[in-house]
Amino acid sequence: MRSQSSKKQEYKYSIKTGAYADTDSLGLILDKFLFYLVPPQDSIAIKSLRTSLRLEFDAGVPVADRIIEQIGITSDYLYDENEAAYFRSLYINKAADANRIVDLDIDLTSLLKEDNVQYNAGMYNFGSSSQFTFIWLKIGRGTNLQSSFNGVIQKWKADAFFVTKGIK
Amino acid sequence: MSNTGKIDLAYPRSQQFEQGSFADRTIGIAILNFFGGTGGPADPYVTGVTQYVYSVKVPKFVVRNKSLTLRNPEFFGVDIFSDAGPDIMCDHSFDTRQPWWLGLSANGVLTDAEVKAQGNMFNQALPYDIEILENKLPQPIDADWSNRIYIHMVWDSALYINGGEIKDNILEIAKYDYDIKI
Repeated sequence: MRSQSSKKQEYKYSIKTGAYADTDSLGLILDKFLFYLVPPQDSIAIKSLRTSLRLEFDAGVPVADRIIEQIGITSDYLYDENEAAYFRSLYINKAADANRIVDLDIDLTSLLKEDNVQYNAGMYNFGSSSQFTFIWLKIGRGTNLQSSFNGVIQKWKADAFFVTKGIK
Repeated sequence: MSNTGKIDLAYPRSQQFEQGSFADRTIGIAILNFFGGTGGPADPYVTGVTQYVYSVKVPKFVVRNKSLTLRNPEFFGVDIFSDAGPDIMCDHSFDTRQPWWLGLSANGVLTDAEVKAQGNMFNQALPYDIEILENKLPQPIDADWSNRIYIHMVWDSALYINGGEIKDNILEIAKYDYDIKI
């Protein structure tokens, strides 16, 4: 008689957190930025992603442009997100406070393409693949902040939940 | 009521935390800018000269240089371009790849024309290895041998740009084959 195992086979999973926080603060030049949370090397899917960030706009930025206009997910290291193989975003139009600071904490899970978990620990040559998951950020209205120094990133953090190879 | 003592392993396999920015090459994350026009994070470097020379010291008792393999690395190597002018944020941007020439000498004194005359011209994407055989290498029998091999790099215009600064040891020594006096 053949036996049948009732044990459920599950993939392993892994949580990863990455954060930028620096007293020097990273300059915001142009109006779009990517945040790459390097996935575990053996990832097969990204299941959830949450990010939080704090920006300080430069005093020279017009008040009306001191906003995070959009945030999203893109698969390519390209300035024009419309050329990316995968791009999804949300219009949030979150404005800075009187101190020119804007805080954002948002769950981007609904925008993910689950199998975009390309690994690139060397941070070089991102152009070779369209399978990354970059958090994509756009500041200012339209193209207004496309050509100047616009402020600094004070903090940027992301938490993601990955499924990895290997049966538990 | 029975208790099996079994505990479900519900914790994730790993929790990792890393912190840093692009500049210090932390493995965990990168924040990427777009200025520079080509997706790169830096303004191209204007060479400002048509020739750059540096030297590598070789062992004291070398009697013959047999071959030298230099590696032009994929990142921050020698890859000369003409300048397409100002971009969104930089005063310079990459236009067309230009040839450059490699020359070797025993004393570090070669004119641009003399370097070109050695016939080692490169005009290709990085990375690549350059193997120089003994007939083109300076030898210890040269009158002005200083126990150094001088590496000259020449291009046509001081206005040409490179991805990174042209500096000493920009070409890595991948292999050096020589005979030595015992």
